[in-house]
Amino acid sequence: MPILDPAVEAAPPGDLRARQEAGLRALLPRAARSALYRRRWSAAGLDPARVTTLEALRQVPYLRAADLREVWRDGREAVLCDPDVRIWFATSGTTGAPKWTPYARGDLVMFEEVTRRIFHMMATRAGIFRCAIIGTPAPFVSDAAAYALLASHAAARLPVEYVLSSPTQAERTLAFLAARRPSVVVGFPSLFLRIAEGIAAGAPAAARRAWRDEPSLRTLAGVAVTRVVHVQPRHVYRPEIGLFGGEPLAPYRQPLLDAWGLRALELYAMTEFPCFHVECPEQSGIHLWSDWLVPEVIPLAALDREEADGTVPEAVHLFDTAAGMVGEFVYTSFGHALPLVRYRTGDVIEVVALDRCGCGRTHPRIRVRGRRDDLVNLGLIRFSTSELDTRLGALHGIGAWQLRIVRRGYKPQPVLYLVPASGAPAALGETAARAVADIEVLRLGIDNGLVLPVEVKIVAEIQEVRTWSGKRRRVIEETPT
Amino acid sequence: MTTLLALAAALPLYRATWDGRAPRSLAEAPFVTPWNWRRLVDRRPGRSLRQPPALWALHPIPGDDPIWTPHAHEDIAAAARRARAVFREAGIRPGDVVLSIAPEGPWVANALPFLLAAADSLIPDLPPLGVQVFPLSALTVAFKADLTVFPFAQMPSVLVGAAADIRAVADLAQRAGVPPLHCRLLLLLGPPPEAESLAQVAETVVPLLHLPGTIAPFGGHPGSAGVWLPAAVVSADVIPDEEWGRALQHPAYVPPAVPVAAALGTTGELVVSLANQALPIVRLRTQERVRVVEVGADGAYVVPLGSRSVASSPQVLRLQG
Repeated sequence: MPILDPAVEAAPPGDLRARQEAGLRALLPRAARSALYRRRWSAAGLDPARVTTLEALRQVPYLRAADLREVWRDGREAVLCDPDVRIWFATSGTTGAPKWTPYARGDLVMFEEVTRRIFHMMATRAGIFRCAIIGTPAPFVSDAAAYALLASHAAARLPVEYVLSSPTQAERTLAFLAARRPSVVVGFPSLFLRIAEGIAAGAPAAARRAWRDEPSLRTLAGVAVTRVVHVQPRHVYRPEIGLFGGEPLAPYRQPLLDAWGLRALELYAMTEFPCFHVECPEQSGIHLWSDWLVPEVIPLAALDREEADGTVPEAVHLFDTAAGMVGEFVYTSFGHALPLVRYRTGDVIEVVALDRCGCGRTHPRIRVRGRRDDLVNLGLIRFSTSELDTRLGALHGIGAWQLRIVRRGYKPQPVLYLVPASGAPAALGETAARAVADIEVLRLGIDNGLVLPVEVKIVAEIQEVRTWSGKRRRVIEETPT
Repeated sequence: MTTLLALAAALPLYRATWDGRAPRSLAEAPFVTPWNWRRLVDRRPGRSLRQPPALWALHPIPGDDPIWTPHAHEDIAAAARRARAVFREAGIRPGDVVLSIAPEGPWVANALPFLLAAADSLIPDLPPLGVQVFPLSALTVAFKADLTVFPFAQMPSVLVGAAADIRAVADLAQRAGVPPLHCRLLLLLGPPPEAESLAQVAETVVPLLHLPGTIAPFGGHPGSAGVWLPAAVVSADVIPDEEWGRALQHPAYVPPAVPVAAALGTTGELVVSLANQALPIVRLRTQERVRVVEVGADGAYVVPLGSRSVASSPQVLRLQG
């Protein structure tokens, strides 16, 4: 399929920079009216009208997630930059209270346009674009995304066909999709692999049920096949493409290929700004739509220095980085209801390439490596390190602890290393395992087969991992990237 | 509605249901049960369509398994246009803050927040509703009760949802320390619960009803006795309660359905026909129990009463002989 808007999607980097600077000139004075920025910028002595270049943007203070939670105390009207707000979505609140984000009409228009870009990116051959979406229920944006796609694609009369479902109806949806094979599936990678496990385990019984309900040669063949073949989703559904988001794709990419036989593409999106960044079929990184945001990166070394002595780190415009650079993603969005100016996402990204992609697009390509903040990240299942610390702190007899997240196959497993203090009870390991597994969201992940049960190892000494600045890390992700 | 029969005549769903004999009028057309639908549409969706669908959505059937319903581009645009009119008629005003509570599951009702907020993407010729929508679902709030804190603090003027879901979310919100809701308007999906529990939530209650085959609900207006079913959109019949009882006693008996225009005061199962582009619906038994409370030349008001407690699918099969 051709690129939807070559003048933008395949624009030379210089044009994209110019576009960003033009966007900034309109954005900053508009954003300055919001209570989110007014006091903060005033205290920093910033004149928003003078922030007209990417260089000048570097003087603007960063915005953090906590600022977005607290600002609403001033009342909606004082915060919003566009009165035509239509709908609000929330983050899951993994690191604190959920953050609610307003979407104005202009944001929804952008949302719809990005979905058209994605359609042109994914629909690599003529014919119906048949897409099954397993989304999460409200108030998460993934629920609305399905309907935004629909509005956008129906308004443009694109040849699409969506099957909308959620994990609560996965079995029913899979039965339907066996007859209406999708060319594209969209959802969380860990969930699709969990579904694949269910299909493999349930195929013989499902085939027998189909034969009982409707005896025919076809259903009889199904019973025979499931007796001799370990049925995988790729035998039944054969989607060409999987578009996966919500957690880094790297650990799941090969297992998804094995189970579903599809080409797994990564999607990066945030509730705070309704712009879906996706990997194109070239599979060489996620294209960051740099006409709708100004992307910056804070290098890892600067982040470590910040942790050590509180130095405010310098961010680098992503276009000025080199491939391979890793750091925290910071962006300025050209949003409508509540534009985010230099928002520190907490996501650690790697710059994959800055040159023109094989698909012809010039927007830089990244990969998401994980989270920077105080988070135990098990993909879909996340909780704060402080919650873990509180649980373990309530137990007697723990001298020191460290949590390592390892992968057994594609599934994450938390492995807790404990150094017993003197007088520690004999059953310390079991007690600690129970205390950790009692974290509600973790228990949910374990019960649903998304995370393997916690393993506890009693050791004499913790093998410490430190940042370059010497700070000890207590949660270490051993996930291969 | 003869056009509807003509549209349907070539489709496998109706060829199978009609035994190859096209009915001369809608009243002569045999019923399609959810079981028929699942057998002929859900299992062989590609063979059932009149026009390519842009969407397949799950529609819950009271007391039974849900069905997949297809919607063509034209159906979606028509639904957006009608949804806007239904919400306006129901009493939604520009400036309203709407708290929409979705049911557990990916039902068509999940489209409601988007229809409220952004239907003008599909109908750019009409002004928007001008409301702000906070979507929630009972399922997510069950895991994270503090999701209620912010939307409840915005003091919604309108609440949308089914009684059970609203109650579940309100209970969880209360446990999270959130003050109780009190709205100007409650758009109530499905049957009303006890009157006293509604009075605490909203000053005015307007019923909404989702019918299979459309992503927009049907609704009433403040002061109306029930949900308005416009004859131009939906052809509705009712199988009276007493006929349903007789059908249980005599499995071969096919109960007659009475057009709503002639069924004032009747309580029974709603049967609907809709001229959808993707797949026309002809005399589908919805298993929604309603009471016809007002009739006119251009439609009727019905009060949703909840599930018609029918037998499960295999039993229906036996009933049909």
